[in-house]
Order: sequence, then structure tokens, then C-alpha cells
Amino acid sequence: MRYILKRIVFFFTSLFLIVLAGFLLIQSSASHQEELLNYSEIEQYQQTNLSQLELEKKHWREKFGLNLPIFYIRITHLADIDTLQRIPSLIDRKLIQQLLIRNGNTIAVMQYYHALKEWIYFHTLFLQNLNDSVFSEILKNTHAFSISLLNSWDCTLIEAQLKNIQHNINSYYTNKGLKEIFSQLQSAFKTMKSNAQPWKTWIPSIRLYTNNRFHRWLFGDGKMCKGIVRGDFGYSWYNQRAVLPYLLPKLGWSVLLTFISVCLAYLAAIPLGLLAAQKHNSFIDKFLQTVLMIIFSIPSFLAAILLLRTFSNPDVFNWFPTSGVAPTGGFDSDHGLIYRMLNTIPYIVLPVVAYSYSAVVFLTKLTREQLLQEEKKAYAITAFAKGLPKKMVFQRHLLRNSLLPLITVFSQVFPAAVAGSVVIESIFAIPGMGLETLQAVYQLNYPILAAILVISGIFTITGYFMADVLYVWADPRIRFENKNQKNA
Amino acid sequence: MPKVFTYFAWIWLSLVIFTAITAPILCNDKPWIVKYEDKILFPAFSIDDAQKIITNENSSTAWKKQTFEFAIWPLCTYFPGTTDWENIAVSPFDKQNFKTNNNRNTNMPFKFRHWLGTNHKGEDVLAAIIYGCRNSLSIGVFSMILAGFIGVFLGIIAGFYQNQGMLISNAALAGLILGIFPALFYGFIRPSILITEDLAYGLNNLPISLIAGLSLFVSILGLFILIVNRIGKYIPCLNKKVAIPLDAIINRLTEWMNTIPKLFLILILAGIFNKTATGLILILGLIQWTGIARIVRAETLSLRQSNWIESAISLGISEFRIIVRHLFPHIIPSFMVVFILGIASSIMAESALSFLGAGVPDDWISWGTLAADGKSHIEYWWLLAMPGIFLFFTLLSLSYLSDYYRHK
Repeated sequence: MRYILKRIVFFFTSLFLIVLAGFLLIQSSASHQEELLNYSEIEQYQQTNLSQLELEKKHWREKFGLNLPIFYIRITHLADIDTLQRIPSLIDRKLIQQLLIRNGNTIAVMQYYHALKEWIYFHTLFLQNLNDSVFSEILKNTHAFSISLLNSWDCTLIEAQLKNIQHNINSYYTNKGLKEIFSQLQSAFKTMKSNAQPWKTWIPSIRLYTNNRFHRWLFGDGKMCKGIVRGDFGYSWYNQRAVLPYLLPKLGWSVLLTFISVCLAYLAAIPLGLLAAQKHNSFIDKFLQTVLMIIFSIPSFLAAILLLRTFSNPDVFNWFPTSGVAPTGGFDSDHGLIYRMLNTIPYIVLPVVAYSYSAVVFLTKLTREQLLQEEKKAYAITAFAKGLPKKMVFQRHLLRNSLLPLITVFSQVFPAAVAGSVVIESIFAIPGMGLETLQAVYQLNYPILAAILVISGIFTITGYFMADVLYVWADPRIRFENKNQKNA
Repeated sequence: MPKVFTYFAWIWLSLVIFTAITAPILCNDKPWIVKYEDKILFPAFSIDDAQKIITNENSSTAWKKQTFEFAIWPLCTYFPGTTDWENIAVSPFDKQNFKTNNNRNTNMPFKFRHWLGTNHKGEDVLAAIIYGCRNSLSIGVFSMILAGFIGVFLGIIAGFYQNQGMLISNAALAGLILGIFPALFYGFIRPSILITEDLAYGLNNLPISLIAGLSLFVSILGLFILIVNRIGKYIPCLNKKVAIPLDAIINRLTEWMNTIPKLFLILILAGIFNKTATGLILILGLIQWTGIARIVRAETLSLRQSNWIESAISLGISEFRIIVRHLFPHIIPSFMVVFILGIASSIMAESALSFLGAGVPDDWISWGTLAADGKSHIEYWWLLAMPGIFLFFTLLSLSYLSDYYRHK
């Protein structure tokens, strides 16, 4: 029982890690999309209505949960703020971050930031409502200085820019309100400069957040998304469909093919391994070894193409259809399930062979080696000494014990087959997970990629877990070992 | 397993390695040695010599049309990617066409033949195979060297110290836990905030800042451990020693790595990050160390019981010396078996990726991309067969050698 408990703990930790990996993928996608949105933000500053743009971004960020901190825990410096992610503009976020780590006085920095935003906002309004062409050149000049303030976090640089603006204002401006706003900005800068607390940026601080992006992705926020625990992986970027209902039929095909081919591999490998071990060092054994070695060295894509060109070629053997899993146009609706199943079989024969050949080789080798190891043990020698025929010893006594490691190998074969499906599905045009992965990689369709990573990860871990449980069930030694340890 | 085949395997592998190393010499459109205007020149090796003969090359066949008194040509006289307009999609056995200086069509001279034909764009297949060999092999070998370093290190540590071997005091453990946050902060987080360049355009001094961050991280952690250890000397409960379950930790790590579907992970990672050969080597290396770690751990575990290790420990030889001088040489044979098999599986993974056209640079040439060409132009059989044969024999030699030495 302790063993099983250990495995359950392992199951959940690896599940967590896989989900974390999927989350990181989604995060990179979010930044990717935001880059597109932030593209030439400075140009947009000059052209469109500023507040409208900010509102749009804010709405978008809230929709994708980007206004939240990233993870449950964050290590940062003492002066950093928790609500940085709520600021919609990337340039503004960068400015605040850089000012904070250089200055250290949180309140003064935020006051300077707000004063700067206010100045830019009113100045833009003033610029847009002006019709004087001579004066507007000077205004545009001032505007450019103001915008470059968003990109400058060095005190001397800011001072120089402010001086330029001051010069323009003193010589040309007459609007009193604008002058006052600028003087506020200047005073905010002076307070920031004189009240700098750089020591704060050298002290680490750990922040904890209950409401964050990872939490939202995992459990949902009740409004926009339901979270992956309820099966909500978001929407595909390519066709705007919900990811999970879109992926499930594809998952079905992949799992079906993988399952059939792994089962067939076991069915083929065990008799072959038995044969090779019984006739150890004979011609048959050597021949089998050589053939298996040669088959194992064929890359899967080459094998798949060779199969396709041999058995699905009008010039050689036209036995099987070339691609897909159903006739073009699909089945008629009045055909029954059995008819459909029977007519699907020709489509999956070649893929199954291409899937399973390397697993057959691997399992045959393993069976043979296990049998030869068991042959040296005392109980086998006893059985031989009793005068039992070799065939009987191998099939009755040795096979059962040699099959135990094959159970653990199941957990390795299954994920390998799922991963191998990428190549084979793309060659045989099977609408499965592998083909979908490839398409998603080409299209950079992150939500699908994250979903595939998480789903296939869950499958793999479940395979491992099942293999462990089966092993405990099949091999009493593990159970007894644990009991003995407890008693001792 | 007959021994004769190992000779063939070694011969094939050394041929492939030789080809990979000398690719630019074997496959060059300039002659190796020529006698031109009573001077012996080496145009393939020296740009100056090449300039003395032809100053501006305006056609890809300029060198072949030039007349020399005497010339030794390379094995393959074409570069991959240069089009031969006279011979589009000719098979290895077809009649090949050559245009002489006065625009007369003649039979291709023997020395300029496309030995393995050309593809649908008129590019030489042998040249592509030679350069593809260089790429495929370097990915396989370098990724496995990285995997080998990680695997041997973790495997030996897990097998040698096991769960009870690595003793550290409670104080040092406390120092580790206390120091990890400041070390992370000063080593990585604070510098990363200070970086203002855009990461998407690449950071020129990223390796330098990474190494600096890592050294800062290690030194801060070490400082914390030292200080807390010093204080712990006066407090009895901190002075007690606890064992770090290294074996269990490394085993869990290996299992976690195994649960990740590898090809999916490679595809996804390569789809997101910049597609470079170095990136592919890093990804493959960081994924494939688990097999090596498992074998090395098992081997170390059984060697640990042996007499000479016991006597070395009782002689008071330092653990580092025991591991490097006494343990490691005995691990090499079984390590090499897994290493060779790992190269095969790395090459297989790389060829599958480049066959799919995902995760490799756009102008990448390898046996996989050549096979993908062959698949889309299946009517020209040699486009698929030639890279397929090279790939098959390389993989066969590697897996045969690994199997042979495992049973020996």
C-alpha cells in the first residue's frame, strides 16, 4: 500500500509539472499576442484618441486575465508594486519598472508617472484642437520630447528632456492650464529625484498572490473562463472554436491507433521472443536477431513511405487506401456501426504496421533477454533436472516470470507510440493528435499546443501509474517486501 | 552476434565521420590542385589561388568550363543549393548533359558527373548528402555529449551517495533554504529587471550575464551556508547531521523527464523559440540524459560494493578522487553502449523533425529534409532512396555496435 501511495504522490506532482509547462506556453502566447497589439504603440500615441486605445487594451487584458500577477509567488525588490500588470500599456509598465528599480521611492515614482501621463494627455488634446500651422510645429516638437520621456528612466536624461520642454513653454506657450500641469510634472520629478531611496531596491521581498494567472488558468475566474479542471482550454486562434471539443475526436483516433498497435506488438513480440530464447544460439535465433536489428534501424518516416509505396501503389500492390481514415466524403448516414468499422479497417492497417514495428523489435528483444536470464535461475534448473521438456519449462515456468518487466515497459511503449504518431499521422493523413500538433506548430496556435501538451502528459502519467499498479498486482514480491520492511 | 559485422559498422561510421569533418573539401566546385600558366595552384584551399584563375564567377559552371593543363578535382564538384540548369532531375544512371564553352551540348565528363543524380531543382544530391551528413551527425554527437555530461554526473552522484551517503548538518540545510531567495534575487531577478533591451531581438551578452548571474547565485548561497554553519556550531540541534536522499531525488527527476512526451515537447519548444541548430542540440541534450543516468547509476551501485572501492574508502582517499580515478574508468564501457545508442536516437529524432520541416532552421540541409524532398517528388526514386540508405546504414551501424558491445 505504501508503494501505491508513493506512486499517487508522484502522479499528482508530475501532473502539476505538466500543467505548469502548459501554462508557461500560454503565457508566452499572451506576450506574443500583446506584442502584436503593442506594435508601433508610439505612433498610435500620436494619432488616435489616447484614452480610447488605453480602454481597449485594458479590456483585452482583463479578458485574457493579463491584469493579474503571473504566479502564486514572486520574488522582487522592496520598492516594487503589486498592481503593475493592471497598467495596460507595455511602455508604461516598462517605464514604471525601470524607474522603480533605479529610484526606489514607490510613492514618488507613481506620482511622477501620473503627472507625466496627465501632461501627455492634455498636451495631446491641445495639439489635436489647434489649427495654427506655425505654432503646431513647435507643439509637435514638444510632443516628441514628452513621448521620449516615456522611454527615459535615467535622471539626467529626464532632466534634459524636461529642460527642452521648459524652453519651448517659456518662449511660445500662452495657455495657463497647460503651464500649470507642466509645473506639476516638474515638481513631481524634483520630489522623485530628491527623495530617492535606492537601498530599497537592494532588499529582496517575497510577494504572495491568491488571485493570479496560473490560478485563473487552472480553476477559472467564474466569468470569462472555466479553467482547465472543468475542461476549458480556451479557444483555438485559428478557427475560434473551443479547444477541447475540437481535440477530442482527434485524440480518439490517436489513442485507438496507438492502443491497437501496442496490443498487436505485444501479441507478436512474445511468441517471437519465446521462439528466439528456446532456440538460443541456433540459426533461427541469429536470423531473427539480424532481421529485427535491420528493421529497428529503419527510421519511421522511411518505413511509412515504403509501406505506402508498396501496398498502396497502383503499380505494385493496390491493396490499401493511400490516406485518411474514411472514404472521401465520409460514410452514408444509413450505414450501421459494424459496416463503418469493417470499412475503416483497410485504412488503419498500414498506419498500425508503421506504428508498431519498432515496438515489436524492442519487446521481442526484451522478452528474449528476460527468458535467458530466468533460465539461469535455480527453479528453472530444477525444472530441467526433473526431466521436463524444454518447451514446457519455457512456456509454463519461465514465461510467466519474464513477462513481469514487460508490464513496466508498457508505460514506456505507450508514450513513445503517442509521440511517434506525429510522423506517421502526417504521412498517412490521419486526423489525430500528431497531425494537429504539427499544424498548431506551423500556425503557432498556442492554446491548442498547451492543450495537447497537458492531455498527452496526462495520458503518459496515467500509463505510468497503471503500469505501477499492475506491477504490484502481478508481482507479490513487492507487496511482501513492503510488509517485511514495516515489521522490521 | 558475429564479430565480422562490427568491422563493417566501424568502417561505415568512420567513413561518415570523415565525410562530416571534410565536407567542404570533399564537395567543392573548385579543383584541389591545378597547373595553370606553369604554376601549381590550390584553388579549393586558398582564395588567393582561386582569384588568380577566375576573378569573378558569374556562372556556377565557370570553373568547369575553364581549361587547365592539369587538374585534380574533388569527389563531388557541386555545392548544395546551386542549380545545374542542364541537368534537372536526372537519375544517377541517366545520360547527363554538359555545355561547353562554345555552347555545344556534350556528354557530361566523368569527373563532373552527378554521382547520385540531381533533384527537381537541378541540385546535386551527393553534395546535399555530404553536407547533410555534417549537420545530422553534429546534432547527434553534440547533443549526446551534453546529455552524457548531465547523465554521468547525476548517475554517479545518485549511485555513489545513494540515500544516506551525502551528510550535511541541519545548519547548512537551513542556510540553503534561507539563502535560496536572496541568491535568486541578486543572481537572476534583479539583473533581469535591469536589462532593458528587447529579448526578442536577441541579447548579445546573454551568455556572459548568465554566467555572471550563476556565479553570483552560487557564491551568495555558499556564503549563507557558511555563515549559518558557523553559527550552528554553538547550537546543538543545528549541529546534527542529516542525510540528503540524493538517490531518491535524482530518480524522481528521471521519472519526471520520462513522463514528458519527448517529440511533442521538442516540436512545441522548437516551434516557439528561434529555430537554430544550437537550440536543437540543447533541447535534445536536455531531454536525452535520462537513459545514461539510469545505466550509470545502476553500474555505480554495483561497483560501490566491490572490494577496491571499499579499500579505497577505508584508505581515506577523497571521494572526488575515488569517483574520478577508481569508479569512472569502470563505467566507461557501459556508458559507451548507451552513448552510441543515444547518438542513433538523436539522429533519428533530428531526421524526423527535419522531415516534418518543424523545429529546424529554414535553410537546413540534413538527411531528413532530403527525404522530405524525396517524399514530395516520389516519381524521382533516387531523391528518397539515397538519403534513406545513408540514414539507414548509419543507424544500423550505431545500433549494431551498441548491441554487440552490450553483450560482450
